[in-house]
Amino acid sequence: MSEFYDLVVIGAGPAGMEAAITAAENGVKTAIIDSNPGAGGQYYKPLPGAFQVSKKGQTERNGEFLTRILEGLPVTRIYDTLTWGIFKEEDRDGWLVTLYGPAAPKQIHARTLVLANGAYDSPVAFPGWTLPGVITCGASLILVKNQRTAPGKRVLITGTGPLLLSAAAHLIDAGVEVAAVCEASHLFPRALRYGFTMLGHLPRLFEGAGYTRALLRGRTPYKTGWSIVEARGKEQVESAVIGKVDKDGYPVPGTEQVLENIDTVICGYGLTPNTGLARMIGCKMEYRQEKGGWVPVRDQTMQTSLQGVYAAGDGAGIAGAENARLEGRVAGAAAALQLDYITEKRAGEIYGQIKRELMNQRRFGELLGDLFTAKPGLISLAKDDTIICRCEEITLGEIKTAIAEGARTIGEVKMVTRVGMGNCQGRICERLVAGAIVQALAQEKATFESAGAYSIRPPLHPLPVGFLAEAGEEQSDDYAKGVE
Amino acid sequence: MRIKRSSSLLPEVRRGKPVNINVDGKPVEAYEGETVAAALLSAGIHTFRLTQKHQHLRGLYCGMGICYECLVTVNGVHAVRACVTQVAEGMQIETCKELEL
Amino acid sequence: MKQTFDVIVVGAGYIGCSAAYHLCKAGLKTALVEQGPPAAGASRANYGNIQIQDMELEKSSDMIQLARTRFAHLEEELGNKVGLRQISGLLTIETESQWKLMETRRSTVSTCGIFSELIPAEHLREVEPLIDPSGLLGALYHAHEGQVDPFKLIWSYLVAARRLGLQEYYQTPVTGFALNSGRIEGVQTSQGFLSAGCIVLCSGAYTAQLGQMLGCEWDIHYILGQALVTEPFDLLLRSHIASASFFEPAENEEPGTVRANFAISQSPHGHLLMGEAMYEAYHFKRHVPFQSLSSVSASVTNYFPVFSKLRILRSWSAPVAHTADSCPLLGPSSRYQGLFLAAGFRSTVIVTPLIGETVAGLVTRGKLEFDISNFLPERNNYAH
Repeated sequence: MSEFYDLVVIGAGPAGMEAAITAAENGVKTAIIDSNPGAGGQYYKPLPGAFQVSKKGQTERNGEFLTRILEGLPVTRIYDTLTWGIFKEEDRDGWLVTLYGPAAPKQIHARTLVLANGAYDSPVAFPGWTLPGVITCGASLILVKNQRTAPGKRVLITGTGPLLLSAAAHLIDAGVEVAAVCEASHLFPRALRYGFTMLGHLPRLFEGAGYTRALLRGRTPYKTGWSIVEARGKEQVESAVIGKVDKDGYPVPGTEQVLENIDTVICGYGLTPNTGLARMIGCKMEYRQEKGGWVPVRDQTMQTSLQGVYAAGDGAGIAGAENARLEGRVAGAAAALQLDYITEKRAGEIYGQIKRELMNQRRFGELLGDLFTAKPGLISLAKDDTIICRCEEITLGEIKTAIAEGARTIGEVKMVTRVGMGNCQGRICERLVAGAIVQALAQEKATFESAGAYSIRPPLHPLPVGFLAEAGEEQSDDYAKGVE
Repeated sequence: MRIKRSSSLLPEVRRGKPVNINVDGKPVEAYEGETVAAALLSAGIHTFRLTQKHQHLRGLYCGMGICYECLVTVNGVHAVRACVTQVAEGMQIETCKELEL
Repeated sequence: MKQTFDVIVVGAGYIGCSAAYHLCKAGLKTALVEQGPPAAGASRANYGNIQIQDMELEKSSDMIQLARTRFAHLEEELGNKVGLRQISGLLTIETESQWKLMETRRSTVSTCGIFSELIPAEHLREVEPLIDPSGLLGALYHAHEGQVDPFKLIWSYLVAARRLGLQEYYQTPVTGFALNSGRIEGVQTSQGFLSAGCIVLCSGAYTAQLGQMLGCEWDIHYILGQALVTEPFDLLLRSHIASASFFEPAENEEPGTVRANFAISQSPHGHLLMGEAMYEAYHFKRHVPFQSLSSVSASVTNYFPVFSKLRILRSWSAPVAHTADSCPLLGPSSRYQGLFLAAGFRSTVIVTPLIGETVAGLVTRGKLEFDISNFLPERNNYAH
């Protein structure tokens, strides 16, 4: 017989942890699930248990502090586990949550849900981007910080946003040669506009200043309005071509420079919210460029268009870890209120305590979004023979042919070319294909909204037939009569 | 390459105990707590698989289990994401291996 | 916004896209109106198998025989490859009553010029090496069936029709019909009024809804079918395989009860297509119920244990139309002049080219090559 919970939180990063803590503190019977071996998500990713570190940084300590609070509460923690499906249970007015993990139950039931799935690096396609040696900024930070492994000997960092500085500083500290940092945005004088907002985020400014010092020490060129244009190499990256891009992201011909002896290209062009579960269960979505793309529509209590389903953190719109924590708290309180564990007054108090800081963080998120969202012109980096769907090896040229034949939406392009039908289930290519449609049909005023998105259906990640064959076995008999 | 030096941003870390793993039949240095991806990269192995259509070389990309590029065969099980799989004693890893039913 | 056409086709699935192409080819100014994207309904969930699934073969054998001839030059005509390939077909038998059913089927099917063989379980591995026949009595085997890439087929019809002037309206549901003294004059849609003297409903599962707008109670219902697809592997499966239970008369089941019919095929790209769990429903929601995933997977691993390690990449759900007598609705409406139906085909892919031609024949009043009197839309209305 599967376990019943008042609240199931999916994702144990900053937002998920705070949601679970707030709910459990108020008596809500809560479970939290994460595919990592422990809590923290990407932002507070703990070092592997087997590693011993001499000194811990502030972020790590903050993460450990939050984890200790979580572990001190009666929250059922299910780690190393993928939530592969969520199914509505009409008769119970709740949700069946199906799991895949070595020590996990196959199913649990939830009355309410908090989706806190975080984000992943937004891909940008350019010739050679599929070569071994081209990795995302997130991948480089995980390797260096979490695995104490250098991705290469001489790297190029390219993309947009403050994470590039963090990656550069860590790599220089690790003894890796950073040939250049190419920031695609034209930062000044736009950044000056945000002078006052920046003052409200002094700790971040200090962090940024620290990273900048590292770059200066390493004599690393930091070039704004530049981007990678091509990665070259036979079996892996050997050299990289960089060039200027205009303020809309379009490459400026004739400005190319070749950087020799590059073995790794680190790409950080912003983040995309992980919205698979929200889309799978039918939350109404909206396209918000500055939030990273398609995000669930939410009210101010973090509730989506589905009753009892909340979404918090970067998984519902990119705005950083501090914002994620506050949103998690709001979602946890809202679930507790909905389940009658706290009064409206108490929920109002919780929200009132953090409202100002939440607004502040949101403004910071908007600042980052304005300055650093990958500009639409970057789609022009891809040539007709550049792979767009990495899994199925479909090129931009094939996509453009489908569009020329009449495809107007991502679904039609998928039908004709098979983009999105591979292992990653469209996570990597979705925005690239939409961008290609928007560009090809600019005259028809195509937008990301009109281009649409892939339909998400279970399983959320590829799973063996043999596992799914047995997934139904734990159910009780009254399930034989149809689950809507 | 494993980062051995200590710095302000990356204080010194002592990895877990050494673990015996084989990659394509050859022993490769690995430590408890490392991911298969990190161990392979440190051993200079960047190619993890070949694509189905064009047999192109692919390696690590997203590093967090989303993109399914870093697929290797582990102890006979195909399509294992190296970046989210920890090394274990006796692990047999094969790169560029096609699915065998 | 008002637009005028000679004919409007409602529904952009296999039948609708083929009809739209043939109507354009006949020189008619044609519009294709679809409430979703192309192939939004049952056609999206189809495996592309060119197979005979009709139950009442006596009534449809002429149509089927003729339909089979239309594939020889299809790719040439459309100017595009549709992934046509030959594979065999197996209907697996678990019970004695299914065995008798398949014996009957073997002789009926031979009237369509198709030869099949009843193979006992102990010999099944000779035609399908990977199968585990231990739960089976045997199977009905057709050596020469076919398969197309479903998406390529639909797309090829659309591309060819566009070249001939087809106007398409997607995300455009029909909200009403314009009628005048028993004549149909056009359709109201979310994008305005489209006028035409002829309307062809190729609307599959949604046909009954449209009928209600016209005050017609056509005998067409639907079930929701789900299917899964795996990662690709070497082309090892020689047949598309379905269970004989597919041909057993349906018992009255409560809406929501999942019935797993076993149907698997390997696509030309190497993916295993696995289905199909079906249940009656009164909604069109596209989610995939949990039971469908587990019951389909369980039936596959039962007969093909070797497929257990294959990873499932996607699942989908689609409404599949069916009629009480298992014959399609094909022909003119007896109530409204200018209204035609072409929906509820159990063997859809195999008849797609022929039905498109037939629709064009009906609309232009050309000669039809086979008798449709068994398929008239209001044939069952006198049976109350």
